[in-house]
Amino acid sequence: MMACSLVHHGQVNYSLSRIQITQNSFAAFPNDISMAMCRQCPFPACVEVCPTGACHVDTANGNVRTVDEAKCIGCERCVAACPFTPSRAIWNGADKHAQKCDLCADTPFWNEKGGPGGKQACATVCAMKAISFTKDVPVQGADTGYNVDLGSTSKVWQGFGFNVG
Amino acid sequence: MANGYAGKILKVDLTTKTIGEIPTSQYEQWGGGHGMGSAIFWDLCEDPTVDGTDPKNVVTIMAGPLSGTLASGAAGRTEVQGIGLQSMPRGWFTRSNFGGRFSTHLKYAGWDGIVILGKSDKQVWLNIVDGKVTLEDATSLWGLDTHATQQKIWASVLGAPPAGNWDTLGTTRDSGRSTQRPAVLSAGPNAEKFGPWASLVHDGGNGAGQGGFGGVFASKNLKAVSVLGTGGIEVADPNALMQARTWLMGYAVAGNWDNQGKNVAGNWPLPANPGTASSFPKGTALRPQGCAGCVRMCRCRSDKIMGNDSMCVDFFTTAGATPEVTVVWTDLMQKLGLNAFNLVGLFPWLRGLVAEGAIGKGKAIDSSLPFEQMTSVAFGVDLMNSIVNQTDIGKDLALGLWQCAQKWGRLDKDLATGMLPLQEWGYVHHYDGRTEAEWGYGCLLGDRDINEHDFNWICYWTPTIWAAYGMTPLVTAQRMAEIMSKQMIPYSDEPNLIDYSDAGIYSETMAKTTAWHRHYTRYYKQALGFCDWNWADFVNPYGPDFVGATSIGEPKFFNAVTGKNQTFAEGMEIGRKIWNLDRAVWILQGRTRDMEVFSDYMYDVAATAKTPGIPYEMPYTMPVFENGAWSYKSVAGRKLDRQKVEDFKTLFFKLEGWDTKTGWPTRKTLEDLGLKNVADKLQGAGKLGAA
Amino acid sequence: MALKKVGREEALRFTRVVESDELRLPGSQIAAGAGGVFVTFGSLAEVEAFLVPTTPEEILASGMQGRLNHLDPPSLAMWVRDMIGDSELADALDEVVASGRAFGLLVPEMKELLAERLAQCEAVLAEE
Repeated sequence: MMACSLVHHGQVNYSLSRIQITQNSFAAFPNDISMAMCRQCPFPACVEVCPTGACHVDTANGNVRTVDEAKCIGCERCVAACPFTPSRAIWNGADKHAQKCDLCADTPFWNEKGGPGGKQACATVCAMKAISFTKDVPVQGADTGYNVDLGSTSKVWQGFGFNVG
Repeated sequence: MANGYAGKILKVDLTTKTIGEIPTSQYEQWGGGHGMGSAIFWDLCEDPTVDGTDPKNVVTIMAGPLSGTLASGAAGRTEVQGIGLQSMPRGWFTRSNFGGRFSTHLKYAGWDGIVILGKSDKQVWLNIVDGKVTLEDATSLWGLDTHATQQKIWASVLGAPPAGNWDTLGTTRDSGRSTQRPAVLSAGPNAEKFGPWASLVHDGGNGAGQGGFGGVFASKNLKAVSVLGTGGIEVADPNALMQARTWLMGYAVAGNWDNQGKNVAGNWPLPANPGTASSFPKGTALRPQGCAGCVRMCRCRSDKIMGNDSMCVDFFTTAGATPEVTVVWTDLMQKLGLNAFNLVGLFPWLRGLVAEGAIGKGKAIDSSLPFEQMTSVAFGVDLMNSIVNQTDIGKDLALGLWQCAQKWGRLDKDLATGMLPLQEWGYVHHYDGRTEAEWGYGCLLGDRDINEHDFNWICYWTPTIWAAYGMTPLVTAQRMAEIMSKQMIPYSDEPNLIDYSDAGIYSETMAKTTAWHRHYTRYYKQALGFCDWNWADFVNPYGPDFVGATSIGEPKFFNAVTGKNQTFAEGMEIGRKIWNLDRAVWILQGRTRDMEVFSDYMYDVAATAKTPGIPYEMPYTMPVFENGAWSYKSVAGRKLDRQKVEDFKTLFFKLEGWDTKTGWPTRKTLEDLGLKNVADKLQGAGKLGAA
Repeated sequence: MALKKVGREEALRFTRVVESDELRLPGSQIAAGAGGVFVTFGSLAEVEAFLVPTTPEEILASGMQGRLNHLDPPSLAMWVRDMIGDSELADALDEVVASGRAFGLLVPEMKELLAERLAQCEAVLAEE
């Protein structure tokens, strides 16, 4: 979250992060951490409901679904339309526009090439290699649409002696 | 302003219930964390000689410019300071710190720290949501454990239990949204009853454990502090910060997934979790977990919840119980908000008392605790509950270990043998000053067990493992000395800084090592928040020619965030300034050099297996420079020489520019550090060091 | 390294816990992040449980949470001889120590010897 907000906005700010991680120390693993990243839906509801085309498919950047901030009128239909909780399209209350994960296509504060063909800040900084960019579209169906890898097939985790149950 | 600071420090007067602000710029020269905390304490505490439970005690809870940023292994710590309840013969002005996500939220809420003054007439908790700061009624929370308290506060702040969605904090759509739970720091149930033992706990087990700050909170009628921030912190050079992060990952497994074999030296290339993992019962499913911004992930979350966020001594390292039992104890310890380290010292003491036939039903120390089953769940649970509820021996234990031993008439005897392992100031023996000298001296000349492992891992633990298994060391003692000397600016011209030989531990170079350590930790680790589990990074198997990141990495992150151009040497000088300020406070509190003595066993007991029945230390193998050559040698079995320790103190005082007769800083030393006002105050109290 | 079988009387003696006024065997348990802690043992069973065969890689991989249970092998042999009264076991331990290897490399063999003796005693005492 820090990296996302940093490279997009020049500040570390969880509320501006387009990936949201929430933690509950009083819950049992694996429910102690929830990861909410944009699925880049094949049929994106956020794009469909946008009245101005601000939220659109960016054909110049590998078809990433992203928000053209200049066109956003602040209706927040994209925020409401996202089928996931928390909404992956988020409201930037400071700058008054919606925004969402653009796979780091536009990161004015980072000197690395982003977008689907480049690097993502979150994946770059993740010390546990938990985040990666994939072109294998997972089954889309609410929050259970992903096959969650708890590291059981990861030789790295096994190498650490982690029993993931 | 893009410099990593939020710009203001929250000031809460619990007596008058007024909420105010201090501009951070007023204290920026001190860095953050401990530096600011000490300076603020100096300015705002009317009388540092009061007891820690006095309303005049000033508590600071400070973040720093790196908190909440990507500064790796530095973004997650929060520093707590004030007059403590634990040390003897008096509660020194002391510190503790804790990890997690508290300092992150504090910064995002728009605050660089919190200052707490006075005492509330009613039981309260402090509620911070961005700029909105209120004192809430804590009557219904007062007797709750730390976990229940935090979850109740979450629901209170968010209006409902967290549902995993965006919450709007405030009344307008732009007033701030967050998916996050508040970060809460809580004392245990009725912590005033076991003050010297009482810790502060954040989330599952991030503990400010030492010092009795839970008791200090309770004495102010303060139960907890909650903070939720929806804002952000501008960073001077975001790209440089991103590059610094990936650079540092190269020094850890995080950047070397396909090359993980290099774990034979350097404490932090790997996530520390296999060790924590072994503290859990076999078959427990676990994940590694880390504080905000970390690359190391030193704790775990488990599928049984018990033990979440706990690590290391939280798992009752001295009790000898099985993981199945230990994890139950750990969970209870965190809930009750008990100092884990006190428990580490208590178990060996109790075992000694049992072996002596001095404790038990109908014995001299009468107790109904099940001493015949000291590794059972029931024993640990009953023991901890007895302290919290002042029943059975808990009534006396709750006074503090030292005080309890004094009451039982056993203090002198048990400190003479070491059966009660309080090395100095009534703090539980951690690393042994007879072997690892800079650790012992750092504790003795300071206020508490230092708990700073910078030299410990590289010079003490790692060579010991090499020797215990007959391995070829990754680096020779000579190479280790070369690497570390270069990093220990401003003493880099000294080649023998890590000479732990019998002569070396009393030498002027050891005085320099001790001084370096005090200054480094005061600034880099406690003011800027570089975490003890990640830094200092002296020798690292992933570093070029085994050279770790220290002296390069710290300024790299600091300058990327703040936009300053501060050198490592400049940072070390700020550390020296903070250290001198702390020294001045202790002196006002009554410190003299005569008080700075270890417990008797440190001088009188040679801890070897050859003299069984007394505290014994395994063959600790350390670098020594003897007969013109470096080697690793077992230095176990040393006793400290009283006179040589006194002579060492004289060398140390001279090096630091303090009066060698008293250990008090001189005017010149203080004024050279820009602390003329401190010199004036010490002079007024008749406690300024003579030139 | 087979130890001779023991009789009932020996089994009782070898499995006893020393009295509170008798000498207990010292050991040191170090948790890397927590320092060394003095522990003592009053019986062969306690010592056997304390010895944990491990590798340096495992310990160092645990970072500051690595743990090592240490005792002085010659002292162990002496204590077994003088306090427990098991001279055969003590001789066998002395032989292991005489190999001159580093402590960690002796642990599996020492543990095995103690376990063997304890198993023998258990079998004999169970026969009643």
